[in-house]
Amino acid sequence: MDEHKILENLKQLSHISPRDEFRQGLKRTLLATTALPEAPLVRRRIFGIEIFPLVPLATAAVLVLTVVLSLNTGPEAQVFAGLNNEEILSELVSSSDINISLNEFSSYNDADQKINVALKEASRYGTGR
Amino acid sequence: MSEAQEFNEKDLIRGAKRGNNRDFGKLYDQFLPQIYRFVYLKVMNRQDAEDICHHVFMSAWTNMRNYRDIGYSFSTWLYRIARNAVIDFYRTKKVNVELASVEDVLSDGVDLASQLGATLATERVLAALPRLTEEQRDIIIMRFVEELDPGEIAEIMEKNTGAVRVLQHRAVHSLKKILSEDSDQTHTV
Repeated sequence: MDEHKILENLKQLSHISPRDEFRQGLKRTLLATTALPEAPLVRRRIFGIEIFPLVPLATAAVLVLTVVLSLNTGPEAQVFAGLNNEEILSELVSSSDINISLNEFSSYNDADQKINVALKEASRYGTGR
Repeated sequence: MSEAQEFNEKDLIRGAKRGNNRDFGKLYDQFLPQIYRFVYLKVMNRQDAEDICHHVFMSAWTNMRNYRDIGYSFSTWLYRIARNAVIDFYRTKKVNVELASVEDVLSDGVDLASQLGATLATERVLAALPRLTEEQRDIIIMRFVEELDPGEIAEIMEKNTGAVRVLQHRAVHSLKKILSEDSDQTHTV
């Protein structure tokens, strides 16, 4: 068989077609199957790696926060606030509430002392009569 | 493919990517026959070809959102899925090649009785196809049955056009050799 004849016979094979029942059955199956719609977060490729667009944003935000925090405080100050008792005590001492209470206490104390002195004097004059 | 058809195809693809099953149904109607032929000529069995086509189109539909129009056509994407499905089929199933008679597989529209001579020759060509290598068979089907251009075949096979032309030349040469050997044997007997 020469090349021309071979190609002619190959062309005959283009009449091969699927059975109608199969064609219709598969179409029904496909139409009944729900495909997931296009993802709202479109994946992008960076150096051939697919990533979501929020990932670089989140990474940038974390980096910025780290830089800002490291500029504001030295490494010696980077301790947990809840574990720094001295700082808590100094805050308590400097707070106005406790100062008011201490002032009240000293004034009560003065008043008590004055009352005691007055009562002693009164009793002394009383016994002298 | 004309510009209007291409535009229409792009619209259908866009719709299918959004989950519109009617649009995918139209793409299915358009591409099923050629994908079926390709698969059938690879596995030479109607039932297996139907199973593989079912897998190909179901896979295409469920992965439609992953399809990206990055230079190659929708049919190229389908051919690639089909090629991989056939490779998986050969890997997982012990293949029993059934050489169906041409009358069984050719569509009803062809008047086979009047073309009996051509049909016998076609049957010989059909029987020779499984004796080619996988790549040679792919080339023969896509180039001479489906009449795809070498550029599209290169995209499907992920090769350059030059390599496809070389493969095509070798495939035709091999097919001629197989057919002439068969012919010699027939004459000897």
